[in-house]
Amino acid sequence: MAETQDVRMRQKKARLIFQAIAKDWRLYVLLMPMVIWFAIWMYKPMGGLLIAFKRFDPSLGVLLSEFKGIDNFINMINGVVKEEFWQAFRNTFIISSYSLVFGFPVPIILALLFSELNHEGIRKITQTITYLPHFLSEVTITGIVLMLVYNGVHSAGVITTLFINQGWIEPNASIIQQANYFRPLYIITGIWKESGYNSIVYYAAIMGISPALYEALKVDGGNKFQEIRYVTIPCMAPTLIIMVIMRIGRMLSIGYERVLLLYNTNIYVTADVLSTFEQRIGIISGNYGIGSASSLFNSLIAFALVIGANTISRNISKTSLW
Amino acid sequence: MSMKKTAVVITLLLFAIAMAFAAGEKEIAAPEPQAAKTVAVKVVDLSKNVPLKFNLAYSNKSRTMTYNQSSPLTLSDGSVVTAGMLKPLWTSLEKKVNAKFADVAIQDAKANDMIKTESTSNFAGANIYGGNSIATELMAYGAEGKFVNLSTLMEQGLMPNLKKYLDANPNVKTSITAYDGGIYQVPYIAEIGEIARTFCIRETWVTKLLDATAAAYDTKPFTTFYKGFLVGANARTGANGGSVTPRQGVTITKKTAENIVELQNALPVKNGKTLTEALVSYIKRNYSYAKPSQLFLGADAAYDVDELVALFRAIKANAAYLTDGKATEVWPYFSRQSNYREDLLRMATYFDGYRVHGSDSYESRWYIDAAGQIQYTYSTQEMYNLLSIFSDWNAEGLLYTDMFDVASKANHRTTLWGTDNATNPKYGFMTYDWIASSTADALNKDISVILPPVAKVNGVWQYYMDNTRVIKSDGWAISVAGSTPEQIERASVVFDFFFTEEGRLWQNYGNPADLKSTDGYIGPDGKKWPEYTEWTPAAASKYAKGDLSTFLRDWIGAQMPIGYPKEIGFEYQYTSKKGFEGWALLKASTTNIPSYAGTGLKGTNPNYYKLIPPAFSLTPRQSEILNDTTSFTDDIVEIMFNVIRYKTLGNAPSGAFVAKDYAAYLDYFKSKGLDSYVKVFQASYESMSQ
Repeated sequence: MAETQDVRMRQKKARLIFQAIAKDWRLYVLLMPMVIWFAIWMYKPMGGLLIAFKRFDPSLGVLLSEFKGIDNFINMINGVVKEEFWQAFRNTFIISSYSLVFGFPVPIILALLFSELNHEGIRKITQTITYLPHFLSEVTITGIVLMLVYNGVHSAGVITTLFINQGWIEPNASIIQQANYFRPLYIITGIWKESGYNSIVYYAAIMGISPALYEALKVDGGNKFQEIRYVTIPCMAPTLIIMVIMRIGRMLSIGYERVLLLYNTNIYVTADVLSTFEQRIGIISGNYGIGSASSLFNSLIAFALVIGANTISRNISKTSLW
Repeated sequence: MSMKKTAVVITLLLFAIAMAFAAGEKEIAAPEPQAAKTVAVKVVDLSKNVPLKFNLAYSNKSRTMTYNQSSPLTLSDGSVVTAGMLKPLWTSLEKKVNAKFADVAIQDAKANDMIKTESTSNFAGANIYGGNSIATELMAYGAEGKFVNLSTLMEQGLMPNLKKYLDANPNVKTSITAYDGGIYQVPYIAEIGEIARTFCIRETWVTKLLDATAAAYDTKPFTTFYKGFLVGANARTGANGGSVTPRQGVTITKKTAENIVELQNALPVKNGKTLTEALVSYIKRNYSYAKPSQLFLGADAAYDVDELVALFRAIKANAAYLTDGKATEVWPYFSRQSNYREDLLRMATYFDGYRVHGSDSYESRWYIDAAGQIQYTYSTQEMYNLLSIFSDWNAEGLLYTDMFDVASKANHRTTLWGTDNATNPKYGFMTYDWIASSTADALNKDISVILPPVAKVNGVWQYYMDNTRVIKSDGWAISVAGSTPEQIERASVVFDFFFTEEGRLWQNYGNPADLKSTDGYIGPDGKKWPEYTEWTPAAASKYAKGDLSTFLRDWIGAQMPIGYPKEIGFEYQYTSKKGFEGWALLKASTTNIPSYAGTGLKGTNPNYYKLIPPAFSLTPRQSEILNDTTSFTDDIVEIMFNVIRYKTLGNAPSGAFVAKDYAAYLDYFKSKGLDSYVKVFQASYESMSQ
């Protein structure tokens, strides 16, 4: 009897799902490409994480390669590459944290400034100029940066010349060879490249705020700064929190392209990050196991970070990703 | 009964022990040399057309077997080649072996990336795989059964010409034999027995500096750091290099134990004038040359490394005088590109013969010791001392600093030799590079080849150059998974063709129809070589700015780094008059070079003159050990060059590791797994050389 009821319940549930799909089938069709994209590019490659537990031989493939347990992890944290790994791990955290602290507010400030620009023409031109670097490739951007900081026998870049003239660096010194210049260089380049484009989401959030709120504040005698303080920022808060959570989730995923193009052996101490470590050890040196182990390790920590940030946010501000 | 049993057991035990010892003795007995087996040649039936796919990767789409030039090429017979077609040599070969060739390579793929990618399909995507610096991989995958064992094919009577070549050149055979005894790849064998890079200089600077009377030398102050090498107990005099023989019948004798570096260092005022005058006066006191410049120039040159440094100093300190006021700075030594900077390390030879590279490859960081075992060179005390000496040179401004910046893609040779007539010229004096391109008239007509410095090499004072042309780690192999027996057989015909007389001509010179049939080109070695008709140089001029080598590679499809023996005859014809004279100078001199057989003036190490194989054949276990316990990347070179750049000047940038002493230097290598690294390669070399 109970079994029959159970079957009926299941049939009813299936019918409801089918009806829901049939009702909104157009939306599901629209969703399909993204689902397929995720399946192919995000879920299928996860199988490659098995490499972290194997002595990977490309000719045998992931499944047939010899199983090694956690040997790759032990080698990574305590073997011949341990110093490089921990250095990369530390740098990843530091660069991410600096980027968060210095890079995160800039697009918000930009969005606020854009929203206060009354002249539409000037606003559009300014926005376009700030968005532009985002559409240039990392190679072009770093090429420009390297040109600016170049210091050779026959010529020197504008920034290097400025620093030398100001006495901040020795005439023969090269900024790109100095470990202490890498992080500012990386973060400033990132801010220049991405803050304009990143401001779009905040600008959209500001545009979505009801004008009635600003009018009410004006009636109460509020000035421009009070508008920002009491209306704009509180209304943007959910967007800001979601963006912070997402940013924390990406803390250990510093893109390797810019670092790879800017760094060299002499500045590994501040520049080598997990993604470049994985590229160098995993791909160039052919130690796929350690490369994958590092990647998995990285992902697990990022996962923990995003859960933590989400929980904290939910408890404090009642805003969360899930 | 029990006594009997015990006696039997003891007897059996003693017998077993005796047998074991006997077997052991037999094992260590020297193997009998085996004569090459005669095998009946198997003639391949070429009547049926067979499709063959090629995947040859050279990181450069112009270098593949497909014609990738934007403008069509009109050949001497009037036929036209356009983009996307096979290059003419390969179209001709296709007909010759009755096959249908398909180039399946990603045209600008790196060979190493290609091998990694294709290994995932067990190399089933093509019949023939090839590329640069992949010999280790081809041998490793070959031993795993993924490439055809060419020894087996040769035993079956296939590839008779390759077999003949290997039988005649057992050292080549040993160098390409994998750990399991199989031969899986045919290498690019580049002009074995010929000198590779040489010292090339601006000739008139030496004469202007040393032979001029009442010259207006510069007086800008100069600071010295280098203390000299042939000083104190190592002074060059008497048995320690007092007399040397640059060419047969000529002896140059240094008359005193003076050291020019010490003399220059002791000068109360150091500038272009004083440094040069000290050098000129030293040469006059110590040698009997008609002109002081002869110490460095010509067939009787007999300078040592300290005298070379003294000349470098004089050049550095006389920038305005040497360039007629066009420059305030000149660079005595430079490498062509920053990624060739390791050529500087080859100077080690002239510091009592320390060997840095065992072959014509920066990766070959080994030499063979007196016991026949290979030793790693980059981590030794001698290397550290050498880097410290170079650091002194760098502090004196003798080394071009831009060559240390590996991010720089500039061609320093073009900058420092090829801008004399530019508005803002830059000047360099010497580099260690290939003769043909360095002495090209289009670059600078003043560039000449000089003899190497004299040095105590392997305990014997001599003229010696360690950089010779060798078997390369480039080559090709036949895939097992991608090929039917018919395709393997046809691929073997292709491989063998380049070891025939006809194939040798094709790959070395291009279309034989474009060679003169009767005449021959007499090289500086006195030998007669195939000579081009007017068409080839004219076409090279029209299509490749006169660069014959590039024209043959990128337009014709010849001289590719596939398995074939390359010869020097082409290069002689491509060399300028100055270059030709340089070749003649070296050929007529007593300069010794290493070889696979290891012949030369025997000294303290009987294996000193032996070249290291182009690639090591590692077993899977050895590869595992390397993966798990070592981390030897190119960062090592950067750390070494940090010593050169920063040790003496003490101007290291923040974060850069500069080994203050040898203990710190060695610790760095040990942290990368040095002991394990050396053991693995020693074991590999041992198994390859047995």
